Amino acid sequence: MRKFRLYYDKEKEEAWLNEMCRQGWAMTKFFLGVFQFMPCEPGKYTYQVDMPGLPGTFGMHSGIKKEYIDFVEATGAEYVCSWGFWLIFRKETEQGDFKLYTDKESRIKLYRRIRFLFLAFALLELGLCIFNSYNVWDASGGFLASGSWSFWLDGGFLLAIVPVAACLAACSLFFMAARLTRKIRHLKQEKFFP
Amino acid sequence: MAEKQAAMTEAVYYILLSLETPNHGYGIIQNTLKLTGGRLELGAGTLYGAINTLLDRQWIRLYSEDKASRKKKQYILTQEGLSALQQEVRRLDELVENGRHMLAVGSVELEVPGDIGSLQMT
Repeated sequence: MRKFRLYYDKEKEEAWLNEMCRQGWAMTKFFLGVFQFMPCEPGKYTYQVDMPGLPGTFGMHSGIKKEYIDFVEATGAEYVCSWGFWLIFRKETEQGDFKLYTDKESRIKLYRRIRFLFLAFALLELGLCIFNSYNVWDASGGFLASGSWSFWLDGGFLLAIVPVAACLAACSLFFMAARLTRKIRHLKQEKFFP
Repeated sequence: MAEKQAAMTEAVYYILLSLETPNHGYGIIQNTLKLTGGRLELGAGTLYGAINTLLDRQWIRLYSEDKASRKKKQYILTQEGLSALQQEVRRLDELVENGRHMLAVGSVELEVPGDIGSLQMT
């Protein structure tokens, strides 16, 4: 079974994957928002979505990534798949609790990594949005300025989809970065005043 | 090393305690579980991050690397790590000592701020 979902929140994604597993569907693959599921015993696995802080520039050097996967698998978990900076692991529920990050310090660091990634992509999308808006304006300039209908009738407005989509993506990424900032602040407060 | 060392996190403390003899990641998790009677189970992500920080600080070092095995890398405490651990134990000793002392002086009786309402009335 395949399902299409876009998640900006790793906790919600985990909750959904675990809920799917409770219903007897174990996630096995991910590509561009499409999750693939295989039938399984209901509740067989616990899933965790991870963005590890690997040493080196972004750490996505394949050797280091492999080493991290081996490290996690040595603790009884199973590597499911990866997508960009994200890794997904699962562990059989009967083997006990499965949590990759068990203290506030490491969760704060994890949220900071995710926030950094979101902000980097938000800026990229924003740049794309501005660049494309300028191009669309350039291409349609005459029509828009004269209020002519042809911009709408000949499909020229379709060009505007790219900058609008980029702008929306940038906005939601900024929004998620702000939410992560709140989560980090909350964790810090808990740390000093438990 | 600085005279005043910041308090260690529980994870760092138990990782150092587990590395008196060479040990690998999973071994550290198991040893911590044993020492804390199952209270503290280190997550793999938390452990991985802490090991890298400790390697950077040179409190631990790589002991051996087995290319064939899954549990590839073994780590061990360094001299610096050992003295950091000793300093932390002294700090914890002081905390516990002060706590015990306070609780042992007779039976602890808290001064209950009586009936504040009536106090204000008089």
